[in-house]
Formats: sequence, C-alpha cells, structure tokens
Amino acid sequence: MSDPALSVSSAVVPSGATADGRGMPARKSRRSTWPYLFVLPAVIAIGFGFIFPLVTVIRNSFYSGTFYKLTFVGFDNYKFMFQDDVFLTSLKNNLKLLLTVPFMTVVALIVAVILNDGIRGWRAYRSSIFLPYILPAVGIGLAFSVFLQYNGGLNAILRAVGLDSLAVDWLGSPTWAIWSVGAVVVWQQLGFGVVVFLAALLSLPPEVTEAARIDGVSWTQLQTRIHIPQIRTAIEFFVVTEAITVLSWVFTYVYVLTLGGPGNASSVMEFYIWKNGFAQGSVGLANSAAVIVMLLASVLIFAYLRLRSRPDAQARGL
Amino acid sequence: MSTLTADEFGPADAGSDSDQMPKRRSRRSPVKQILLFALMVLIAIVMLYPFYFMIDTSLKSNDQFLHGGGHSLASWTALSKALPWGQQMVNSTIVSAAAILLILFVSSLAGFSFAKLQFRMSGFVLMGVVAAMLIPVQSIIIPVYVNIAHLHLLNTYVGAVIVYAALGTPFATFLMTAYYRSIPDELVEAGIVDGLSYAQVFRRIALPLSTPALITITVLQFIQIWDDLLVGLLFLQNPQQRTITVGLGALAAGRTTDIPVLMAGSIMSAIPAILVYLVFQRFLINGLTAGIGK
Repeated sequence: MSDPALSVSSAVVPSGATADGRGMPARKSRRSTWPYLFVLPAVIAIGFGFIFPLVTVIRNSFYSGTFYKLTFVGFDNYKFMFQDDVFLTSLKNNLKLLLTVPFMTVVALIVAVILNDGIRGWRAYRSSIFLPYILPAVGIGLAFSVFLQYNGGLNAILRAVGLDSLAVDWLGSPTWAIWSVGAVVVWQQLGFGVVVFLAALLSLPPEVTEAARIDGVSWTQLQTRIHIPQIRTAIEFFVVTEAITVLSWVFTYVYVLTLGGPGNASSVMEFYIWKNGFAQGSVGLANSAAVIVMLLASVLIFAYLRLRSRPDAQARGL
Repeated sequence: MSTLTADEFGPADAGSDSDQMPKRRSRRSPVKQILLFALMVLIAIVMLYPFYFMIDTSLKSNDQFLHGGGHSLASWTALSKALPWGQQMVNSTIVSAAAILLILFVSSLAGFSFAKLQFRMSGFVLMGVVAAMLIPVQSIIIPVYVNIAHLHLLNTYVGAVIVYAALGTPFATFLMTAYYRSIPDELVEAGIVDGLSYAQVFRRIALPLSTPALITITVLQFIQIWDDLLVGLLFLQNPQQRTITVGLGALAAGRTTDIPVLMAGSIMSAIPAILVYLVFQRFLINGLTAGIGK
C-alpha cells in the first residue's frame, strides 16, 4: 500500500489560499465577456442537472398522472402522502437512521484520536477502515445481505459464542431491518469520519499539545479538553454531511439489502420516491415526497453553507 | 505488533512524510496501551471481516456454501455466464471516461473564472454550485429522466454520460475553484500584461498548474460513477449497455440463489475501484478533506 500523505492543504488546496467566496480576487475586472463564457458550461450543466429538475419537481408535486400527462390536483398528493402508512414509515426510518450519525461520529473520533496518538501501524488501520468507503454500495450491500441472513455469517458467530438469543433475522424482521441497514451505512461511512478527523488532528499545532503535556494533563484530558475542541469545525462538517447522507443517499443500501421489506418496514423516503415514480407510476406522489426530502435536506445544506463561511473554515483554504 | 514503542515514529520515518505524521504521542501506561491496541484490533476485524467473508464465500460452489466444507473455483467460472462482466466493465469505463472528460472541461473553466476573474454575482452563483453539490439526486432524477427521454437518449451511452457529467459538475467546480484560488494572482496578471487573452492564460498558465486538482477530480469521479447504481439503473436499462454495478444490481434483484456467484461478482465489480484507491489514495483523501476546517 503506497504511502498516503495526509494533509488537508497540500495537494488540492495549498495553504494560504483564501477561497471563501468573499475575498475579492485581486484582479481588476475588465469589461469582458470571458468570465461569463468560462462559467457558462457549468451553469448549463447545473441548470440541466439541478435547477430545472428542482423547479419541475416542486411544480409537479401539485399534479398527478403519468410522466407525460399531468392533471392539477393542488395539495392532494401531500394530503394523501401524510396519510399513507408507507410514507410515514419511510419518513420515520430516515429519522431512525439519523440516530446513527452521533454513533458513527463518536466511534470515528475515538479511532482518529487513537491513530493520531502514534499507534503502531496507523496507516494500515486508516487504509483498512477507509476501504469500505470507496467500494460500490451494491457489492457491500450484497455481501451484507448474505452475511446478515438468518442462517448467515453473523448469526453463525453469535451461535458459536453462545449468544443464540441475539441471533435474530436481521433483514427479515420488521423491527431490525432498518437498523441493519443503518449498521451497514455506519460500517461504510466510518472511514470517511476517521480520515476527516485524523486530517484535522494532524494539522493541529504541536506546541499546544507540548505545553499541555508539560503542565501534566492526563491522556484523556489532553484528548477531550485540548484536541477534540480544536477540531470542532471538522466534527460539525462531518455531522452535517452524514446527516445529509442518511437522509438522502441510502437508496442503494435499501434496494440491495431489503428492497424496503419485509413489507415496507425498511422503506426510506428515497425508496418511496423510486417505487412511486418508476415502479408504480405515481409520479405526483414521488414528486411530493421528493419535495419533503429536499425541504429536510435544505435545512442541512443551509447549515453546511454557514459552516463553510466561518472564519476558521476559510482560513483552511475554503 | 505486540508492543507499542514510543519511538515508532522516530526520525527514521520522518523522511517519508515528514510533516504529516502523528507527533502527539503521549506517555501511556502499559495497561492503557494494551487496551488501545486491543480496541484497534477489534475495530480492524469488524471492518475487514466482511471482506474475508466475501472472498471465502466466492471460493465455494453453491453446494459447498449450502452444505459446508471445501473450496473451489466453480463460482468464478460460473460468474461469466451469470454476469457479462467483461462487456459491462468496458461499458463502465466508456461511460465514466467520457463523463470525466466533460466534467474536467466544464469545472476547470468555471473554477478559473470563479477564482481569478471578476464578474457580477459570482459569489451568488458559487453558492448555488455548493448547494447543488448536496441536493439529493434521488429527488430530482425524475425530471432529468423525462428530459433525456424527450431527447431520445434513454438507454444510450450519450444520455448516461450527460447525466453523470451534470451531476458531477458541482463538486468538481467547487474543488477547482478552491485550487485556482491558491495560485498567485500575479501569475495570471503577468500573462495578461504579456498580452495573452483570458483563454490563453487559462490554457497556457492555469490549466498546466492545476494537474493535481484534475487528478483528484478524476479519481473521485471515477469511483463515484463506477459505484453508482441509481443513474445506471434508470438510464441504461439494456443489458448490453449496463455498467458493471448495474449489472450486479440486476443480478441481485433477479434474486439469484447462487450466493457464491454473487460474491464473486461483487469482488469483481470492486476491483477497479480498489486499484484506483490504492494507487491514488493521497489524491483521494486530499479531495475528500478539502474544505474542512480543524
């Protein structure tokens, strides 16, 4: 495994950059169309891929019918949706998945702190913990769909160590299915947290740590009082990113692990959109569910933009 | 690996990546060292066991898997019949290469303009780019699907490439902007003073300087497009055009009962992403952690 230099600022964003969106470029503007021409392709791409669909989805959420023939129905889609048990279950499941975020944050922090402490072979640990993050979710989902079967690998281990009572049908039980999906998401996303936190920890000035050590603080105090508070922005960034992830990027896991089942017990909002929009042809419902997902996500996106505009984030190059 | 010595990261190591290694070793009691080590081993096992499980299962025939005992290559031989992985890997490569080229073109131009040229509303437009980066794709994909259908590009490489390129543009533009902001303005000004146009400054000065960022974007987008299920599932529905990930998804959705074959397929589909990860790990991590504060 090649040696991964881990530095937030070296390869992509050399230090000292102020790319905050406010710092005025030093260049004087000339009256020129070049700047607009340069941005134009990106604006077209984003207009085609994001802005136009966004507006269309909001408008179509007040219509029902098929892709090509729509009838105005006002708020009927929303009314129906909020009485639809499948949607309510899906919404609840997304909220349950949100509970995995604090868990994975804490575990990733613990791992990052230990690796930052100079444990032997830290690069190998980091590489193995990060590996799941880059693998196709389909492959991961497939492996876990076998591993978590009633007679699968996990229950074989549990039975072997005498914990038979814990060997439940992880994907087939209405209670456990969504938590199993959550566990797989945690397994895959954990490495991202470790990499982000470790990068932030490695960039801390060593002087502060030295000073604290001379003052005789204990290991635990050093981590919880000195190191972790200093990487607050990275932690907040991770929490917001992961909240967006479990709210709106878990389709593949649900699709491969449970197909929303048993029944609709492990459906999530994305799955509801897909099922209504593509499998069942209720485009109106799919659109109104999409609007709800976007409303929830936009709160988090706003939080993300706020984080980015903070001075300490800007000092780091963005 | 049995003891944790304090000088593990001594000067001998310093040459390899001098300013990036953990320096904050603290003096811990032996008990604490053993506990930390045990914890890390436990976490490593939890993280790696599923890989072992996949590999082990793929090396059994279905019969061996169901009734225990023995290993064979039967599932790997059977894989080519269940999953046309050769063709599908070619499909994945074509689609991701074309989309990445488009993304690089679009994002480097836009990033240069955001970072080095001044124009009205640039801050506002850039904020839109960042917001777009986080919009749930699932929720906006239906109108994109309808558009591509209107253009008669469903189930064509071109249609899928356009969609992947559009979806990848915000993050790539964000990274390019950050990168170009780190290049001194004087370089651009010198070019202008020498009589170069903005287009020439971009092509001859800025673009060559941004190679690391271009590599980072290539790696990130490659992994993202290679791993994607949703877009491929909707826009490439013919088995002949499917990407490997979609092929695998379809194989699974067909509820194939031959689990070892599925595991072999999963491993096969992951190999290119793993190779790219191993070779370009540094660029990948830098790209993913760009823009995060302490």
